[in-house]
Amino acid sequence: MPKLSDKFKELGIKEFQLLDSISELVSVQDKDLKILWANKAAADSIGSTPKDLIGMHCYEIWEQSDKPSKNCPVLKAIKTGIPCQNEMSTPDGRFWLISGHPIKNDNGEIIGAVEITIEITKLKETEKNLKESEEKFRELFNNMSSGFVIYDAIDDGDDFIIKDMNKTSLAMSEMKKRQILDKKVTEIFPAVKKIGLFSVFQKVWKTGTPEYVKPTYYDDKRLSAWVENYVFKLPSGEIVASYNDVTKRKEAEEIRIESEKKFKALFKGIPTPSYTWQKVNDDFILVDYSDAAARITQGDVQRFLGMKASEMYKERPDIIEDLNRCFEEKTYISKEMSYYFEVFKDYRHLLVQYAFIPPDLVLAHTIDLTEKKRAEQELKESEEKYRYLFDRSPYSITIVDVEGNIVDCNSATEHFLSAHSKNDLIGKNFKDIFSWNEENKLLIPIFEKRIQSLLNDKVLEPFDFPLIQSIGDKMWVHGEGSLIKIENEKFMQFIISDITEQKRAEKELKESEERYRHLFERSPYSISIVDLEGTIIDCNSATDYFLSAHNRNDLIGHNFKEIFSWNEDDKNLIPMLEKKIEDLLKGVAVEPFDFPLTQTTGNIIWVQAQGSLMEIENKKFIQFIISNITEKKKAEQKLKESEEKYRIAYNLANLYRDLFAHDMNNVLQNILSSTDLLSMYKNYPVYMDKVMETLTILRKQVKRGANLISNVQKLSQLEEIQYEVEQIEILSILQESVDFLEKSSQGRELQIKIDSTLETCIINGNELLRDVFDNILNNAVKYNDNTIVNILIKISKTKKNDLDFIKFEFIDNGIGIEDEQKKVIFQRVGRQDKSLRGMGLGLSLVKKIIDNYNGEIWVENKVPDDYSKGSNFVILLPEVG
Amino acid sequence: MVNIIKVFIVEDDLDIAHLYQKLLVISGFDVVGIAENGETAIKMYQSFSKKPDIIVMDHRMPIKNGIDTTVEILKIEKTQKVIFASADRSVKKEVFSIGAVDFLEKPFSLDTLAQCIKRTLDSKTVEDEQISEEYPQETN
Repeated sequence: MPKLSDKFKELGIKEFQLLDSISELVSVQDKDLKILWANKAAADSIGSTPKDLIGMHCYEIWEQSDKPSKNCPVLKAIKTGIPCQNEMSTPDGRFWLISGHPIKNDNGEIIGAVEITIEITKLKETEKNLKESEEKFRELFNNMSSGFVIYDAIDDGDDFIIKDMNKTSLAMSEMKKRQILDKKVTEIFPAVKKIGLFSVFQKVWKTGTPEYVKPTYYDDKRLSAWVENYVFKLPSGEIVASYNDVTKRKEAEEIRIESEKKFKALFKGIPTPSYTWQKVNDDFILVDYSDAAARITQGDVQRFLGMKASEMYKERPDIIEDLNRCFEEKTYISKEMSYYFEVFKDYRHLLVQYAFIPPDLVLAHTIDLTEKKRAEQELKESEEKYRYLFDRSPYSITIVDVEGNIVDCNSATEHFLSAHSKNDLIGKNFKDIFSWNEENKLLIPIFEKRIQSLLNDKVLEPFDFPLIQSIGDKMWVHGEGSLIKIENEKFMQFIISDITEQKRAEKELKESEERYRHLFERSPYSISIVDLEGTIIDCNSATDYFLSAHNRNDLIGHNFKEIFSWNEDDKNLIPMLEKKIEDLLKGVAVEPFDFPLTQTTGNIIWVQAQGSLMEIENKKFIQFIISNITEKKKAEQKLKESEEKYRIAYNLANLYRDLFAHDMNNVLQNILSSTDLLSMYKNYPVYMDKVMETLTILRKQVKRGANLISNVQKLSQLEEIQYEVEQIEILSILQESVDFLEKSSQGRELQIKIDSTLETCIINGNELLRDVFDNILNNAVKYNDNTIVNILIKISKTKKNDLDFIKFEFIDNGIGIEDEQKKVIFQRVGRQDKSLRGMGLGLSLVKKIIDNYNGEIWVENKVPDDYSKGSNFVILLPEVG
Repeated sequence: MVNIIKVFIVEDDLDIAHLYQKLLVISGFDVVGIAENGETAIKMYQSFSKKPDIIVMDHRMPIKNGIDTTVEILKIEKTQKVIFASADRSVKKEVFSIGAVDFLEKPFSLDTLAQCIKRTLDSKTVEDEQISEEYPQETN
């Protein structure tokens, strides 16, 4: 065989040219690592030429250092004489695999070395990547949740040795790695054959086909669990058993089965009819239904069990379509439909909900909405009705959210809020709306407060406020707010009504009321309003005066009975007032009535009260108007007294006229008869002596007539004026009267005796006393049938009611006066006094005069119980001390 | 034989009574008595064995007035003719109602009285109302 060198020569190739053609960096260095020769690749690596490298140290060139690195394989080769190899990096970041090969001379001495360098930067990167990848996979392996065990087959697959296992697997085996590694599977997992996993290992090892082993219960007394295995073979020949502990899943499955049963029961018990359809091929079969379905179909559904949907719903392809869509799209479908129930022979409106139940079921759940629909329809109609009312209401109805935004309002609101249309309002905040007008802006804080109060307290007192219209008109409105809930959200509803007219009327009423209140207050009459129990509800200030109260607070709220009990004298008015109130309530007309009221000062005022029934806000009250009629009463009293006086005067006048006429006619009768007689006598001279007698009668009658006239005049004067009285000595007057009587009573024998214990006696009197004595003495003579007229005048002092009196007794022996007559002889009763004798006027004149002196006069019998023996006229006159 | 008319005078004013008496006697009447009051009159009337043809009766008198007296007298003798001679015209109606035959209001003339008595006795009727209330005309 020819030498290679020869061959090179033959080819014309120099040996070193050969080295220039390779990609490895080749250089020859002496023992000091100085380059003796370098190939082209070496020079190229630094962008130089081989020539330039000669004489340079290799470390200067590639390591850019002034000394070789300790690990330099060339240096090692020179020192050791054996080839050395090492990886090194250069400052530019590249990696190199450097081999140093010692060059020995023929003596075997080392004279230098050949350095062959291959750039391994890419290799290094690959290596690094691989390492990183391996670490990643190992991490993955170790941290897989499934257990992984790598087995190596031994004895041609007779057994398997555990080569590696991940953390999960270790944890599951409850052993340490060193206890397991390189151990036989049958040792570590003795039950592996029992559960058939071992044979799977063998099969996989032999065939290389991975195999899934269904969850199996592994139990070797030390370990027990439900495991699921997946066995596969690695390219490197090992087999891997990947397994999961599915105990929990199994348990869960059992629970699920239980749960299924439960749910089945639940399904059966779903209160709304539900039907379970199972997908079978291209069709669905009814496999189950809930009890409610049985109920609603009255059991009829049972005959459809197992029936295909395509048969059942020949007429309803939409249902089949829905079943299919639910199944295909594994989705939930809800739709309303009308469905004809044979049982009812009627359509029902159903809500059908299709739910896909994996793997192959569709649950059709139905809810009968017929009633709900009807209710909805009714609700809708009702809502329309309310909406109509809402829209047509003359009140503004506004629904506002809690922020104050208008959510809805009716058309009346447009008018109230000066808007063109509802759309100008809906969605706007009330603040914006009130800001349209400067004056309305003032309402904003008020409304804010109201809204807050409504939200907090849930109630809002109705309130009135003015709204300025766009044309500037002021409108008074009444607002009422309430909290409402619409679909669980809080809103406020405001109802606003126009009360401008009402306000105006109220204002007028108020003004009117003020006017009347003014009248009421200023009235001089007491005006009081009393409720049906008699409690004073209101009264004016005049009432304070009438009822002697400090102010009306003492009266208002108090019952009149209480008020009239303040004063003992007023208490007796209570029953009368109660009766009046009772009559008023009965509707009996109650005339104004007068009564006296005792003031706190003790003064009595006379008042006139007028009661009337009145109604205030449908409640009955009694109004009393009380006026002070004291002055009127006084005037009335005066008038009455005056009337009485005049009546008496009139009666007297009548009496006097009557008596005067009567007596005067008697006088005239005497005169006439006397003149008749005289006329007769003149024809008969024999009677001449009788003429004188008759003339005496005439004179006497003339005197009598004159007396009569005088008495009447005196009496009239007595009635008209109080005669002045003065202290007079009375005995002398009496004596004068006696003397006169004796002179004038011709033809009658008189025995008059004055029996006085007093020398003188002074009384308050006047010249009329003479008439008193004349009258009494005249009567004593006149009414006396005895031939001798006896008159005893007794004068004494006496006391009556602790007052001193002078007592005069005129005791006669006349015809006497019957007891009945005694009562009336001094009375001036005129014509009733039919039996009074002619003198008539006399005793009434006497009585009148004595009364005038504050004295007394009466008549007694001279002899008790026998009036016929004569009379005793007794006169008492106050003595002047 | 001509019957003399008997007259009984009841009058408390004795002056008047006596004047009547004198006048009647001169005129041919017989005055059977004078009573000063009603009670006396009744007593006297009862005592008369022969009742007077005419009673001239005053009204206002003490103890018993003319009307009451007349009522009692008429009880005793209902045919008794009573002529009232009173100054009290207010009782005129009552006087007739109780049964008196005439009423002469004072003052009246003797002629009037005499005619009244005669007329009463002639007519014999109570209803004869020919009573003069006028003042008597002087007869020449």
